[in-house]
Amino acid sequence: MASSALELLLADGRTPTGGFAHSGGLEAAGLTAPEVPHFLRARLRTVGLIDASVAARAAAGDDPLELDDAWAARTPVPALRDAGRRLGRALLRLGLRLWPDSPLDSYAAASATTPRPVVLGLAGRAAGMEPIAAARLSLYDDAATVTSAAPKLLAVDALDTAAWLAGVAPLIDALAARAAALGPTDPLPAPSTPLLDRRAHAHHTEDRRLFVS
Amino acid sequence: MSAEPERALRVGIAGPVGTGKSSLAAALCGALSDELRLGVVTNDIYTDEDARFLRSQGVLAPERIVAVQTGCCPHTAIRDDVSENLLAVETLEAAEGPLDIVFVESGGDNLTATFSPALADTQIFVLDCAGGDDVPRKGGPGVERADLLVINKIDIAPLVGASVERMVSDANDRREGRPTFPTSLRAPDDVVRVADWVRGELARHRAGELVPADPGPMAPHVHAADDHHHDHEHSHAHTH
Ligand SMILES: Nc1nc2c(ncn2[C@@H]2O[C@H](COP(=O)(O)OP(=O)(O)OP(=O)(O)O)[C@@H](O)[C@H]2O)c(=O)[nH]1
Ligand SMILES: [Mg+2]
Repeated sequence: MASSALELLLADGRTPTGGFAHSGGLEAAGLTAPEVPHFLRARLRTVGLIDASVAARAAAGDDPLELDDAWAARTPVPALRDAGRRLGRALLRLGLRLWPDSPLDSYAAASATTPRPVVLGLAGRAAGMEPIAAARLSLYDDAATVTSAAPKLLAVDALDTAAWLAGVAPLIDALAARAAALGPTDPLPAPSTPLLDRRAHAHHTEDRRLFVS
Repeated sequence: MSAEPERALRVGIAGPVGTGKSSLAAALCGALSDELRLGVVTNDIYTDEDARFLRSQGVLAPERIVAVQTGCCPHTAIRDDVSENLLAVETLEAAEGPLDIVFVESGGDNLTATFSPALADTQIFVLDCAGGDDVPRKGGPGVERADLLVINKIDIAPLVGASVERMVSDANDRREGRPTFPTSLRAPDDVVRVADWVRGELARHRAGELVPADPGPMAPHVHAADDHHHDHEHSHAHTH
C-alpha cells in the first residue's frame, strides 16, 4: 500500500537530493519575471512530459536500462544529460538508504548513467506508488526547481513564485495522467525544445553561473 | 591491523569570505603534492572562480581540481545536502584515483557554516586578522570545534590594528584543547605547520582511527553578562 507521506518526502525540497543547485533551465533562459509562468508551462509540456513518462514507465516496471537509453535519446544536450545523471545519482543515494532491498540496488550496479527520471520511477515503485504518482512527482519537481530558483535570479517575491507553482497544478495533473496512460509498447513522447537546448548548451560554458543547470 | 581505507581522506576547509581558504588549499597542495596524491573540490559562488584560481597556481594538474555550483546556498552544500559535493569527490576519485587526500573548500559563508560528517572527515576553519580580532571571542561551531582553527594573515595584523595574541587566547579559551594556528600563508614555516597537521590526520585516517567530529551547526548558548557556556537545560525559551 502506497504511503502518501512518502510521496511528500520525495517531493520535499528539504530532502537532500541536490536539487538546490539547479534552476530547471531558468538561469540559462535569461527571462524577465512575467515570462516565467509561460516558461514553466512550456517546460512541463516538453521536457517535463518526457521525464514524467520515463518515471511512470520505470514505476510500472519497464526495463530501467532501456529507459536510460530512451531518456538519453530525448535529452540532446550533453550538459543536461550530465545534470540529470548527477541528480539521479543523488536521488539514488537517498533511495538506497530508504529501500536497500529494492531493485534500486541492482539498478545502481547495472546503470552507467542513472538519469533522475528512471531513479525516481524506481524509487516510487519501491515506495509502492502508482506510475501516476511518480509522473506527478517528476513534473512537480521540474516546476518547483524553477520556482524556487526564481527569487535568486529575478527581482520577484517568493510568494509570487509559489503562486506560479500553484497555477500550473492543473497542468501537472493533466500531464501526469497522460504519462501514466502510456503502456509498455507505446512510444514515449519526444517533443523537442531547440531554443531551450541551445541556451542550456551556452549556459554550461558561461563563467558567472550560480546554478548547475 | 586495519586495512588501508579505500577512499581518500576528505579535508574540509571552511570560513568566512576572503579569509584565505583557497590560498591555504593552494599552499597545502604545494607542500604535499610531491609525497601525496591530491585533489581539490571548490564550492564557488560563481561557477568555478576558485577552481580557476587554484589551477592558475600550478600546484596540481588542472583535472585534479573540480568546481561545484551551489545555487547561492554554500551552507546547504556542505551541511544539509552534501549530494553535489559527495558526487564531485567520488567522480574525482573515480577519474583520477586512487587519491590520498581530497580538500573540499566551502564557499565563503558565515560563522555557523561547518561541514557535515557525511562530507568531511576532518575540517579546518579559517579566520583572518582583517575580519576583526573579536571574531574568535564571538565563537560559533567552526571557531570552537573545527578540528583545526587557522587564524590567517597575521602578517597584516599591525596594519589593521588586530591583536593576534588576543585572537589566539580567545580561541584557546573556547576550543578545549583543540589546535589553533596563527599563520601567514606568505611564511613557509606556517604552511609547513598546517601541512604537518594534515599529515597527522591522514595517518589517523589510514589507521582507521579518524572518526569525524562534527562541530555541529549551532553554537552553545552564551550569556554576554557572565560569558559562561550553558550546557544545562534552559528553563526559559530562547529565540535565536
Ligand atoms: N597578507 C596576506 N594575504 C593573504 C594571506 N592569505 C591569503 N591572502 C590574500 O587574501 C585574499 C583572499 O584569499 P583567498 O584565498 O582567495 O580567500 P578565500 O577564503 O578562498 O576567499 P573566498 O573563497 O572568496 O571566500 C587574496 O588576495 C589572498 O592573496 C595571508 O596570509 N596574508
Ligand atoms: Mg576561495
